[in-house]
Amino acid sequence: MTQPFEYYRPCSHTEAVNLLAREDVHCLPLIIHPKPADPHRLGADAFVDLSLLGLNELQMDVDGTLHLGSLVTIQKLVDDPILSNGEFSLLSQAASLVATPGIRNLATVWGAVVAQEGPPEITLALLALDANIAIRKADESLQTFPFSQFLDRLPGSLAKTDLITEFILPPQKDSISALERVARTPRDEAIVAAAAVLYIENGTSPRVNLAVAGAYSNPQRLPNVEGIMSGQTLTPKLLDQACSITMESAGPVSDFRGSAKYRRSIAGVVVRRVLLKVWEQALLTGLVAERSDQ
Amino acid sequence: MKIAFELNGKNIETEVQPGELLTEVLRRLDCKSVKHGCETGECGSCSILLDDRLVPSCLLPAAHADGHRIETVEGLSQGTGLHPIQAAFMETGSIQCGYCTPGMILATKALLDKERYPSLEKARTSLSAVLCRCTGYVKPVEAVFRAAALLRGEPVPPLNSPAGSENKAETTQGHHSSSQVHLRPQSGSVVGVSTLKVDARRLAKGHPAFTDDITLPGMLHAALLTSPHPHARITRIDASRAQALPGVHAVLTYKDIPRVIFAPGCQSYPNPRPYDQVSLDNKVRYIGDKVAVVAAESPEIARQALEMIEVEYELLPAVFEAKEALAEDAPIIHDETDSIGIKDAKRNLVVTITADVGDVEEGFALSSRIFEHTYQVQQVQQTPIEPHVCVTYWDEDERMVVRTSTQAPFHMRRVLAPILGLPISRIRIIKPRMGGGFGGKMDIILEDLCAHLTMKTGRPVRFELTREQEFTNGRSRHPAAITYRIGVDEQGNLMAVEMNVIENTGAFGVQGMTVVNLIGMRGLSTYRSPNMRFDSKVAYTNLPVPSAFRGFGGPQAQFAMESMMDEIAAEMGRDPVAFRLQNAIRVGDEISIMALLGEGGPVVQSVHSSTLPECAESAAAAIDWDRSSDPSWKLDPARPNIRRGLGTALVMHGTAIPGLDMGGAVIKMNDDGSFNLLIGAADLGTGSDTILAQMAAETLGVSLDKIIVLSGDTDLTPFDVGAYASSTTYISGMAVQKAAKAVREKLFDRAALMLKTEPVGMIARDGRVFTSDGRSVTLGEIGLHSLHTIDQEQIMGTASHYSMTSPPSFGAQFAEVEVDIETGEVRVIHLALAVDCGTVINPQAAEGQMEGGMATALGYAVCEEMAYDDRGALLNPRFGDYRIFQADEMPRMTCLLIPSYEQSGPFGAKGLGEITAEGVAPAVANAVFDATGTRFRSLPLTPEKVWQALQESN
Repeated sequence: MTQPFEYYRPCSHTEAVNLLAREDVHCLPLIIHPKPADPHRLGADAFVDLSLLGLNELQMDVDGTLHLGSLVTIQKLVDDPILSNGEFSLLSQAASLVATPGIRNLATVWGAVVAQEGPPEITLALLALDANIAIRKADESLQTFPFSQFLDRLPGSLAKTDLITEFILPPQKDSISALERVARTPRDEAIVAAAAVLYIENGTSPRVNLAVAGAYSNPQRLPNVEGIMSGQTLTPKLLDQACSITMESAGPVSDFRGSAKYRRSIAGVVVRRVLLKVWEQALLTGLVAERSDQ
Repeated sequence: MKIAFELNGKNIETEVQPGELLTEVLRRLDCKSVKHGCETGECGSCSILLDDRLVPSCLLPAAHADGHRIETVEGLSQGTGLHPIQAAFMETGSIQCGYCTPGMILATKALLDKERYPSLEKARTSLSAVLCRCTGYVKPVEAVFRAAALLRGEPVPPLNSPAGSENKAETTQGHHSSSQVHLRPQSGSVVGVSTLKVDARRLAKGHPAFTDDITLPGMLHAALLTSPHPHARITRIDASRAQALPGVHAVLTYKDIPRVIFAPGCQSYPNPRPYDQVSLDNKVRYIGDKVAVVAAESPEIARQALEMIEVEYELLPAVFEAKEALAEDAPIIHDETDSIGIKDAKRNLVVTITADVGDVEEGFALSSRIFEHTYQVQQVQQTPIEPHVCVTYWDEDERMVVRTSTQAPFHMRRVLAPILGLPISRIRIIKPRMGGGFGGKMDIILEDLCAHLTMKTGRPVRFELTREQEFTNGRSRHPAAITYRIGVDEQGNLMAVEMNVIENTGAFGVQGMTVVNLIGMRGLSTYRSPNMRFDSKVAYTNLPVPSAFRGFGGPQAQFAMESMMDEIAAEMGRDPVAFRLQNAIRVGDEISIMALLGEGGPVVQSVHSSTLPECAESAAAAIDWDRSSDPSWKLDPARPNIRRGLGTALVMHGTAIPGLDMGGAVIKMNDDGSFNLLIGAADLGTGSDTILAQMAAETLGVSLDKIIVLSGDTDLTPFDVGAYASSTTYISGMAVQKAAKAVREKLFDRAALMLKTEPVGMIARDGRVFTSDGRSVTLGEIGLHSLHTIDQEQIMGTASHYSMTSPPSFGAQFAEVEVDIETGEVRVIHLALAVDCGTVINPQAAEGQMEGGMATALGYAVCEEMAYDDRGALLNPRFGDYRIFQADEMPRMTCLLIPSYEQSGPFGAKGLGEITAEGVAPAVANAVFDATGTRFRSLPLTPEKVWQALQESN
């Protein structure tokens, strides 16, 4: 479909919903992905620009909860000192690996998480940071639920008139995060990537959130690996186990960047690396006392 | 709808149409600096500052601009002034083709508006918003720092480095890249000097210099319908619905235009065979092949009309691999009866070429060891940031004007004439500024259809490929399988070299014969051997069409040959550099194979100039080659998964096509002592306009600003074969030098008349003609005198030049890599290239060629590949997926210019453009071997390929 499209910039949620609900024309929210499509090839009769709806705010509550407006640009994730210097630096790091700076100035977190293809780092970071997603329905009700659930239901997660309003990230106190990736060139879209967040509560009882992309058709958390890591001190044996579980449970899809066989194997490598990285950083920063080599 | 926004400080109200993108509206508002390079924001050529943020405007509906503030390059400076960033880009030589320059300048502005002292990392990151295929980003990064200094009011170093100097672009944040230029005493006041490019100002300011930067009254917009099938016959095509769409003025299918068989390559007469193509056919031979073309009032209407063309196909079996295509039972791709010159159409065999020097069997018999390996090279794309674009119209004399981005305007005129059914005299080709070409703009791609649309409608028509079409309907580098069998005696001398090539030329044979010929020539020229054999086959397949690409067979051949030489050296326990130099061709040697494979006929070629040993020595030192023998350096204790390695490749590339290439030049004097230099040569971003102007200025004794260059217009400039075969500096340059000498003689005659003396002993210098006794007249006085006083005459000179020699340039390429043995990732850390291109006419431009050539070759080495599914559909027809390197991922690069003096060249110069892109892939592959002990005989070295091989070797 290449017919000319109209453009609307509603000032309210109601106005936006009314536009998106139209049956006579196919209206799409103007959401730019980090791997953007030609606007003429999106099949839209009209684009609805949501920029006046206040969805581009980034703020932190006093308890450390982060509210990330859905239309916050990816470049803002790179630049904002709240992220780049703090406990959410994983988001900033992830954003810096996505697209070019110009595209990052237009592409939004919303665009990054709904994209069926493209760089996975933002999604990985949100998964690993236990983000919740808030969606405003046509009746103005607000639904909030874990981002991982949203991803599981993609592409059917959003009704035509649903608006993602924000991502809510819990405080990341006493945590260490890292991201590892493999790509053809340093800034190319990752073939396989993994993000991990290590939480140390009271200096003991470590817990890991681990998400991987390229090992399945979509980025996913790895609960099996997280399970064996929970409460455990990292050991080479545990790392081997994590690596094995990752490879065994993987269901990758081949594309021109890498075959399923390669992705399966490399998923194990990046998971091993990202776990090692967070653990070593935790040791360096004193979050954990010592590493067992048993 | 009507929108209002601030554009470059002015309030604008304008009407925008549904579906219009911001790029289109800004260009309509005469902001021609905002370029179209893709439709997905990835090239960044359409970048603007939107409320101070750099964004690609092609992603935004035009109406989005309402209420916002927009800056483009047009707003940076007023009148003839220059913004410091524009000045910095000009002075650092950051502008080659200039298509991406406005985007880069705005990216720099966005950075420097926030940071007065940017880090190297931030400079590279900022520039990564804009893709450049010409520069390798070295000089644009330097421009960022120079601009920052200028904006801070600090002094900056002068443009010209003193002769023999070293230019290191280092910042406080780290090492960037460096270059060394050794200049010979023959350098003059203009030749041998880094000058501002003659076209730098117009490009820095975003002036409308490119093909698409005009709008003509009544201009229609063309769009192309392409095939969804790899091989099919069109059984029904009905364009009536499309034709009836309001705003559509013409729809052309194969039924609507005469069937004229041709070879679309813009090559010398007579065009090499086969003649196997028509403008539109009743058969499609690859996914993306042309089916129909529409001309309409707007691009949107044209696109809509395409969807209304009804086509039914009879699907045919397809074949994608060359070897399979040559098999007896393969589908026949060219079953038409009117093709001319296909060797064996029933076997999809386009051509075979063989050549023998000496007796290879005898050579093998005398060898103590014989080595044999096969190497695979992939299909890659030129990816000029400016897509193929042309505008056609009837002029006031009813002559067809084709304004197009072509490397060979004169060849195009000749080849186009029979296709259009017009005499050559009724066609004018205008080549405006080109936004890169790299060989990809040497064929007729869309000019024939655009002209047909103008003939049908009587209206001007604009036709531009989308980026996806650029990948499928543009051109690419031929994939090939190259097998070498080499016999070596006990001393390591090459006794016999046998080279066998199977080349895949896709759906059409354009330039396929030329390229395979050059694969043989390049692959059998660098090293001495008394016995050589070349055997090649070129096969049709159902893939998009390869053709010329910078290096023209050289990169394919050099990857195979330089990998092979490395393998032999390793097997024989020899130092790879010493082994190569032992066998390398040297001054006085005859290049036997060139006499057999020369395009211009059998011409014996010899080496008359070479600094290859010095190149190898210098580049080895630059990369710290001795580390290769240090086992401890190859390991990194902090990163046990990393292995380090160094690799090398020696390359040579002949300059121009002997006996075939010819260029002309006209120089005429103006009243004020300035000169018009009219040349048919096509500057595709290399700086050839500047270099040729430097030669004219040097000969005439004037400064560069006294030379006004007009190039590449078949009505106004003399013939030139065009920009290919590394010929412009050498061939066109000599024509310019000859013409300038002719003019100089007339200046002396006129000065003699004015000074009442004889011209004997006169010299032209500093804008004056001096007699031997020290008297002088200015060129301005001569201009006025000759045109307006007595014995009036137009002082002018004309000359042309062709050469029966093809002096090779030489290069030594070195690479340092890190290989992740767990993932297979190859990271190139440092590339060092030393080149002998004879006299260096413009060191800064030469460095730019080297940096850009290495950057392109780096993609060939590690990531670029046109990937297809099992139906032959291209999987990565966009910049992000295809992947050309961006600024923030480039390795360090070192450029070393170590000239010889080539007697047959202007001022001693030889070619440079192509040799720079030939050594990186083998050097990187050899470095990966050095790091891992595993050989890689196919490109690109993707993580999976390396990982797989490492797994197998373990």
